[in-house]
Amino acid sequence: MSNDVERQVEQFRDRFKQVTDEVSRIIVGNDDVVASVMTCLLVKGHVLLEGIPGVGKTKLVQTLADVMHLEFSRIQFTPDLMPGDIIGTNVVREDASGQKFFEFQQGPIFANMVLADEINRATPKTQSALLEAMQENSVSAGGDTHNLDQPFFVLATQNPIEMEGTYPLPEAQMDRFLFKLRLDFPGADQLYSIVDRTTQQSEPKVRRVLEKEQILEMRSTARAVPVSKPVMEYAIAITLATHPESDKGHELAKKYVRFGSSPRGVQSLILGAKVNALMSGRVHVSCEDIRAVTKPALRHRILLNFEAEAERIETDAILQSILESIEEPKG
Amino acid sequence: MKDLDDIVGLLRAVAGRMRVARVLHEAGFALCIVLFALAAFELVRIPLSGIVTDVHWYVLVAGLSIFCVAVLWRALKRISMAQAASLVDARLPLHDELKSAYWFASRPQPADGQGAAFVRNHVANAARTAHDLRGSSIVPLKLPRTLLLAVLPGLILAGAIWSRADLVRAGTQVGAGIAQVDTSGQSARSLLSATAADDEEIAELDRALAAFEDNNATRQERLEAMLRARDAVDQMNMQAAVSREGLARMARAISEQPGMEQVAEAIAQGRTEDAIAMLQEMRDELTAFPADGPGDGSGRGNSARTARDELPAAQETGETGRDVTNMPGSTNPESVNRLLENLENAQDTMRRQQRANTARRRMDELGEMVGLTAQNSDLAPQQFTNQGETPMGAPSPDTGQTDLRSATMYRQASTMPGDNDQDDEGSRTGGPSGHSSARALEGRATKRLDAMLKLERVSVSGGEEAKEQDKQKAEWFYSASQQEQSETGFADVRGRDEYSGADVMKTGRVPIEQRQAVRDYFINVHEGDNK
Repeated sequence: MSNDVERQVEQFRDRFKQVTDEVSRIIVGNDDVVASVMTCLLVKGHVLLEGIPGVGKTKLVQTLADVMHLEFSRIQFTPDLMPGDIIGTNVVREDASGQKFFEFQQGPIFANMVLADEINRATPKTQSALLEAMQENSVSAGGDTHNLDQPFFVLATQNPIEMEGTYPLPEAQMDRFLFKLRLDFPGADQLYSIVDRTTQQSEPKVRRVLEKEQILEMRSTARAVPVSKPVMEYAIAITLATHPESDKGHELAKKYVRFGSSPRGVQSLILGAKVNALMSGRVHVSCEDIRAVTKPALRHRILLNFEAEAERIETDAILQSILESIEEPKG
Repeated sequence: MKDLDDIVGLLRAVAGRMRVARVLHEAGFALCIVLFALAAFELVRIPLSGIVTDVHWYVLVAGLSIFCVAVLWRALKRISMAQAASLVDARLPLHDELKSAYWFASRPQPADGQGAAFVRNHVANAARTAHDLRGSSIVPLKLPRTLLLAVLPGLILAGAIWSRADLVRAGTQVGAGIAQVDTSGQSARSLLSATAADDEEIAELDRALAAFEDNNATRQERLEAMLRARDAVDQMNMQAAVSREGLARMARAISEQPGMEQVAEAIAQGRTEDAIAMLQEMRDELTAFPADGPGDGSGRGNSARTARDELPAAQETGETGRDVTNMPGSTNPESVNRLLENLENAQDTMRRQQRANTARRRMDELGEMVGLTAQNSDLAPQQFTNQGETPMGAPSPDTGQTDLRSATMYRQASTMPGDNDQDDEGSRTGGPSGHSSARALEGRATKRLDAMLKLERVSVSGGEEAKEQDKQKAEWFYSASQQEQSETGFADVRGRDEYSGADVMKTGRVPIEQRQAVRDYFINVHEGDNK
């Protein structure tokens, strides 16, 4: 049995590494972002990618879809985009006998990997069309519920600087994303590599290294990683520290946070930590794994108050302070 | 189960060593604090022996005992397995492997499923890790740094205790020294034996010296005895000074009497015994050959004495001489007797003072031996107000001044025998800083120190030229300039005028009673309209 577990773990790591290696042939740098996206995929989560234009957000998602042999669809969110454009709609069809009937025409959300590009440019009504799909992995239209094919994975992108004419995601929508990742502007060496790779006669090609079934198997492995109570208590303590009204709330949270993380935040911490533990060759989650995923898992779940906005306090700074202040449980 | 045993075995060993290490650390910390507190107490106890008492010592011991118990209780608190696991995980580091595995192993595990397989694998891995580990390598036992820190207060405490023991030895030696002085007949108390035992000051001084010479007396008791003795000696010094003043007045009075010049001169020069001898001779002559006289000197003398009963002793002694002077023709034997009696009393008073001062000096020397008066801080200014000032001279103790080790206390009354000025009579207290010169025995005539207060007028402007300039300035202010034009611009004049006008219109410038009058006027006018 032990050998079987170790084999699963080894297999998980190998596959994970294959994907990231393939992606890195196209995407320069941002290895941690690629790993985090993979983490979300393997624990049935969704990712919100944030970055300025041109840093490779869309390219990253496209490359992942190519590598993993998944059905990929891209939705360019615009202000006039309607929910039906995403989910699909019932259309009137006519059979051979001339009898007319309604038939559900699936929208682009019916795919394994959905790229919601510039999601904050659509209206909240359209944004909300993703809520049920992201949480329940199903879509309701015309009185019928349609299950989505697994794995279902939404990657949304948004531009943090062009806020004119955008609709910031509501908190409920933000909470559906497991991680919020930031793509930073590449450095000089990375820019050199990007230019070198993308200005040749032929761009590098990636090969498909992961099948749908393998992804589901990896999901199962990740979920099986045990988490002890002291480690869970550590994750809970971090989450509670983001709440200004809590007795265990951090000092900065009491000053700058309006609403702390939801319970989904703890779930995200534990799930992300499990993958992190597997990638570290361990079959148990440690507090170190929790710390590694705290910022991407909680940064979009903390709603700052006006004072924080005025003083340009970012959630990452508050989370860093929380991580430094909370001690690991001693038993 | 074997996996759990391996894990628990390691954790128990680590927990035990952690406990021992904690006890060592806490003991070192407690020892450091205790030694520091005791050293501080000993250091404070020596200079503040009058303030720090045994009660403070008991309070300190009680506080330190409570502190030690609290530290011991904290040190002996149980260390859980989870705490030991956390320590092992943190020190190696094992990424919470032992902590997590112990938690899983100490609970019922799921029978089957993928999760159960992962848990079993995890516990087995942790057991292998624990099997290879030794508690001594994780928690090595070594002396805590606090024990090294305790060396410094320990040395200070040892030094303080040694110093105190030295003082105690000195205190024992002084008892032996006092006994030795007693044996040789030179103790401070023995010096008083020749004086009047019924004298109040002598009795007080005797009691103080007895307390001082008591071998079982504490340092504080000796200090208090010394203070009482000094007070008594000061009183006797005051009385002696009064006697000297009386002697001086007596000498001045009888110097005018024919045949008494030599007696007066002997008194003035301090040769009291010579004066007494001359007076005794004179009395014998008067007794053998009584002179015929119109008046009865004895009756007058008695009446004069009755009238002077309320006078101070100095004046009384002086009046005795005056009685002799007032006797026309020959000297009254009874007056000479009274003169003799007063002279002998004064001499006795001064002898008493001399002995008391000698006794007190000896007491000071003994006090210096045991460190009572060796340090200025012992005789602090709050105990002797004039201590700390350096005396101008080194006056004789017989002058009535109180000699202290580092200062002189001027509390004696001094004679002021002026040549022609009877207003000089009375006492004078010397300046605390030592300005008064020491009086010779028997009151050497001194001049009154007259202070010349001069009021000087200091010219501020200085010189005729400056006065002329001031005058010109004054004229310029009221006169036209050399160009025969106004120095003030039109705008300034107009502005000043407008300001004055506006200022007048302000209601705040109108007195309240006048405003009230105006108000009443208009109210009356208004009421008149209503009517």
